[in-house]
Amino acid sequence: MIFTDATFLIFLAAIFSGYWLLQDKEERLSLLLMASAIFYAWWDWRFLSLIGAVILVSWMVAKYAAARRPGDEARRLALIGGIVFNLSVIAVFKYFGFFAESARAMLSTVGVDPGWTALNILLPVGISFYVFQAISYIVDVARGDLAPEPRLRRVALYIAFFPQLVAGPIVRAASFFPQMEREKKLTSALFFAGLRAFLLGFAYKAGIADNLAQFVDPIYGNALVAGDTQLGDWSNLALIGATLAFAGLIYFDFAGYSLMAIGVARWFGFYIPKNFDYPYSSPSIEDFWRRWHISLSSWLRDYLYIPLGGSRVSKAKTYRNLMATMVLGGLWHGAAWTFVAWGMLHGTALIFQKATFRGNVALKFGMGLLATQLFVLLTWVPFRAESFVDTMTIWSAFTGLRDGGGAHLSVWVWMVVPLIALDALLGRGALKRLPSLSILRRPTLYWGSLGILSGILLALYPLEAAPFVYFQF
Amino acid sequence: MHWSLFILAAFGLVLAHGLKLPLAGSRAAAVTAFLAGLFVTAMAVKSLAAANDIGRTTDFDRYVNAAVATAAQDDAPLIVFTGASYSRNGIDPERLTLALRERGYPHRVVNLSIEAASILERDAHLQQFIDLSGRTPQVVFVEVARDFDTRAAYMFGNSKFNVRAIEQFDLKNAVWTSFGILGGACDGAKGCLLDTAYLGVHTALNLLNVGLIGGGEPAEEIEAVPAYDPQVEARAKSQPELALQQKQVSTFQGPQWVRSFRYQQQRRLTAQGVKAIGYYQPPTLAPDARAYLDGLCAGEFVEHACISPNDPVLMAQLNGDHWFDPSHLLDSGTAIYNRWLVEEIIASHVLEAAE
Repeated sequence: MIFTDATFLIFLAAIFSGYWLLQDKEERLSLLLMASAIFYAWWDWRFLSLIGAVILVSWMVAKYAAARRPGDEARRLALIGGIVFNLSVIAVFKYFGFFAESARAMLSTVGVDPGWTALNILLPVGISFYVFQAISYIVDVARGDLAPEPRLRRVALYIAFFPQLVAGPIVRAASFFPQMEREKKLTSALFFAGLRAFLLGFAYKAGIADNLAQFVDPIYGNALVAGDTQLGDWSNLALIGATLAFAGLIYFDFAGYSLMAIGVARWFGFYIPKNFDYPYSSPSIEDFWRRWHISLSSWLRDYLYIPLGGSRVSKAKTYRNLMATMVLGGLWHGAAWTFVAWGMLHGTALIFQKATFRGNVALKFGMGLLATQLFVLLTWVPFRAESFVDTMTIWSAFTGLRDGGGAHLSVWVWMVVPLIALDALLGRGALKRLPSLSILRRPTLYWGSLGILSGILLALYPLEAAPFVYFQF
Repeated sequence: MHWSLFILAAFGLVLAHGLKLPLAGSRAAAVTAFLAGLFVTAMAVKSLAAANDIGRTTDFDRYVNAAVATAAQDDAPLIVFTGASYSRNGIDPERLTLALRERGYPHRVVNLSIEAASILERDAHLQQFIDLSGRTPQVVFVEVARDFDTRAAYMFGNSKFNVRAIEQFDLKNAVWTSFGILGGACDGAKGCLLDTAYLGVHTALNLLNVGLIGGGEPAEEIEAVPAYDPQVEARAKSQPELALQQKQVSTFQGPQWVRSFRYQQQRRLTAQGVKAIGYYQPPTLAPDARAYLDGLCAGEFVEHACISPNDPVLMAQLNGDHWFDPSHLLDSGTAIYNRWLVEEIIASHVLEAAE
């Protein structure tokens, strides 16, 4: 069940109606929890027990830790135990095969055959997101920043709330728990706020991202598949175009999903903070990370970078902390060395920026924007490529040093640049305050425009929808 | 991929960013304005797609493009076979062309068949082939099978809500299918209700252009893939001895809706310059299904070339490991059938009629 699917829309309509027909707060929360369980089971019911275990352990650990005095050894041990349990869940389901395979490859280079074969463990959808939410809950309680929640059902809903269960945004317990207690009313403001976020997200995902996949997949997806056009057969411009298309795809796909999650949560009276803030308009890498996948960046900052010492330590240690955070952030995206390399490149850029430019960005906005976005674009290559060999091939296309092949992509791929620019201009630029857009608040114009937008989105809707990119993380 | 996709995406972005909280107003006016916006956009998108020859891309378009490429090989008169999966497995155009030429006929055979294609879907793609190739076939052989005649919305028994299902139910096909359902060409009361509901939804999705620009391409950009799909390994255990069973054949006409459709198809194709229209069905192990076409050959198609596989000689040759499954031939079976078919085509004098 993906958000752009008819099945999900029917499911959503049923839960929405039931939710607002119920008057009792507890009944509403129970309905949301039941809906979340169904939503997750739709992907793979076998993993319900796994998310159930994460919820149960996190709830028990937080309760136990909170019952001990601050500084108590038992409280510290409970905190460590809770984190270790949650990390073990990710380690086993997401990274076991990767580390086993890496160890086997390393041993084989020195002539040792360990004799084990790689295990293909199925990756539970959304595991990286809900485990991070569980960890933040335990840590916040153990630190004394948050009161433990005595009711298991509330912790379960916090960790498994279906709008953001499978691909975030990663929500903090301190912001979510009070919202469960608040009395909610279905107002037109609430409904239209949800509709606005959902429609914009739908336009991003179904209108743009899914249609960009046709530029990306033939080059990045089939690079090594025999019988298809090989990577080497593509022209340099095609490789650059596919990388640009991927930059657009991952942004519109993930930002689209996040917006739809925000919209759906809003329809149930919950507020989820934004996850993207037009990152392709960032004039520096630091700014980029304040705007890209904000909930993950801030999670890594609060639960990894700052506990490591942040920037309140020596320069060398600050750089170490930055690099560790970015490498782990890269690895969070996927169990492959290409993701580690992606994290390292961004870590290096952040360190370089911190070491070189003090205070405000030294570069003028235009130059900074160009340099930053070129860097971001180049680093999407290892993020998406199947291997380092492919990465090098595509990078060499950017330099023009490679002898390109004869296969070309449609010239329309370059249209992704004006689309990204238009989106940023509409979202945070000059066009945001255009008086003409406020005319659309007039009822006839609003509903007429909504009809036009619906007509456009239906025509752009891909009948063979691709799953959201971030589900795999 | 077409430039219109980006123009629409940009326009959609502007509206999606611009739509905030509406001021309060009359509900009737809101509904009217919404429907008007939707209708105008649907019409505009449809015109845009038509002007640029954009349709939702299906495998049938790929087969049509391969057939167009085949037809362009020479100026030989064309014989087009248009059918469903029976023909996709059972009509080898190369084999048939070669056999005809060995017998002194210069014709080139083209296969335009796809799984689960109703007579309506096949007709649309036959016309697409004529338009794209700029060639009018001399002879068109239309596959006839009982399953398709007796269930107007046959597609829904196989798949729903996919590109092909939505693409084929345009207004014209929806009207013909409704005619069929109203005439009882569906499976019981429950089946008729379900088919009607699915037809309504698919027609609405077609009229609202769902996936037309996102999943569509200009016809000439679609990759060409030959329709003929030879099978070399059996999919399911079949009972070839059924080939020897013959059912009593009576003379009859097809259901009213499909008869009317075939009649208007004959008139249209003839007006376009097609010299002869014939009917056929590749062999199937079900004796009833073979007898169905035999009955039509003696009844509805009495004035047309009609090649029924209900021939004991042919079926005796196919009594062996020549079956992919009870309804479809393996390549070895296709070789036997196509040899027999060439003789039948010649014997029907349809090629002389065409000249």
